[in-house]
Amino acid sequence: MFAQPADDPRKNTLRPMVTGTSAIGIKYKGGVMVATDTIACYGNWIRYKDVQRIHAVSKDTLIAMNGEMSDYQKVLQILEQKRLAEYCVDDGSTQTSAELHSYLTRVMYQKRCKFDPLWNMLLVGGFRNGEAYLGYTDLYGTHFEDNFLATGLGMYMALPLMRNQWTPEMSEADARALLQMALKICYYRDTRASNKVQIARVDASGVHIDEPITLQGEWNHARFVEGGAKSGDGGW
Amino acid sequence: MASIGTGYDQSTSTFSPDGRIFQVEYAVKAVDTSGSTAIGVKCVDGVVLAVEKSLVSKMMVHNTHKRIFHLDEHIGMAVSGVQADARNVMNRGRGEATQYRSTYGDAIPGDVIATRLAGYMHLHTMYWWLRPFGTSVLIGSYDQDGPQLHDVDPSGLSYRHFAAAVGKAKTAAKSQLEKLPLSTLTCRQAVPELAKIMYSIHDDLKEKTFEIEISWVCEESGKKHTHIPADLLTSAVAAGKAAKEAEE
Repeated sequence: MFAQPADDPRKNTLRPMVTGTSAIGIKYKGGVMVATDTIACYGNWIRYKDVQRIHAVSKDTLIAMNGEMSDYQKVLQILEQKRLAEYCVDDGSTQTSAELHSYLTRVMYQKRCKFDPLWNMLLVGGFRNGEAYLGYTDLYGTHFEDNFLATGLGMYMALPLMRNQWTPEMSEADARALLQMALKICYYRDTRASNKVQIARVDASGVHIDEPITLQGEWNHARFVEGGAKSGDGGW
Repeated sequence: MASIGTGYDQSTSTFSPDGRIFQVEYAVKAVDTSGSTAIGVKCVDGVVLAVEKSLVSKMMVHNTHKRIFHLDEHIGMAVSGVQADARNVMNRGRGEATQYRSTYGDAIPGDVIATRLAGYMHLHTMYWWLRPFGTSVLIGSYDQDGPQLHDVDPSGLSYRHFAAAVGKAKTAAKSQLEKLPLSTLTCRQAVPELAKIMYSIHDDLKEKTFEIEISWVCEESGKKHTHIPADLLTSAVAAGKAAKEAEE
């Protein structure tokens, strides 16, 4: 007889299911470089072992993701739709990385305000007219830029390293070495990180997304090899 | 027009006693009187679209009255007839392309968008509170099945063509298009040919100044619909003018 709205309230997804972990990005002299690993986890299980978590969204902008994979796919669709709409305008201009970053933030914030966020932290990297761009946005619609950025657990693992080692004069090779080191630290410390990583950059020649590479870890420390036998408790 | 409507020409929702819908015929008439012609050819490696447009005013900013539009990255539309109507059809076309992508996750095929736009235009011939579109359009596309050229007219008819012309001088243009070697023609070869046709069908007595707009979607353009490079347009226009002068 009476409506009972409380029995069947509208429910949105309240936690991510299939997730990618840290994304890291830095500016260097002549470009911007971002990196992620290539797995997507369902809980702690490595559900997908070969996923791309960095994509070009224009001729000089790319995004790198952290968080829910399906929401990220939606983000890519939204940006592709935007790109095509801009193509149709046919005025010879394309959106800058800063504009795309701002647009993306508006999308994230609007979804958050509907209590149905796109569960991601995203890095936006770009390079145009000699200027590198590196921005961050997330499921709350936060918006900022920095010279080096990390998402997820990378914020705790990788950012302090980059704070120590980053300089504005870094070459592409320096940047690559720093990112690989940061990724390796994430791999050691973050249970949902993998050593199969992908590095991408934007420079004056456009977007380049490299093939995935496998980082070599160091597992032959004496205590690792000995295990817990010596202390007798089975642990390290 | 052979006969006048005698009371049956006010509505699209009523046939005349001899089985005609006069408003649709008037719409076709509106396309032909509005002053522009659009032609297109399907070549071995793509589709080329060309539009002739008269310059409305000497003070108008160059390149601001476009008559060839993108519907999607791989689809172009050249229009003739009432410009405002054409822009409405264009917007619908873009909407269809976007909607197809979000539903099927892939680019809309050329025959699908032509069919959908034909349906949209036909819909405007079925209700008394709507006016048929006073525009005919050419749709050039390049999808998995290769290049395709379609036309859509105010009645909602749509056909696939090797070469097509719509608008004011369509009859003259068609007879010239028929002379082109359509089974072997490439887009590069077609561009100056289309410019020549444009110059030959243009009526100098009516308006002196006009511009040609040419676009293509082909292998050279990466299967994307773009306006042709500026140097190619310049040489095509020069070829058109030279052919016209040689003729005279």
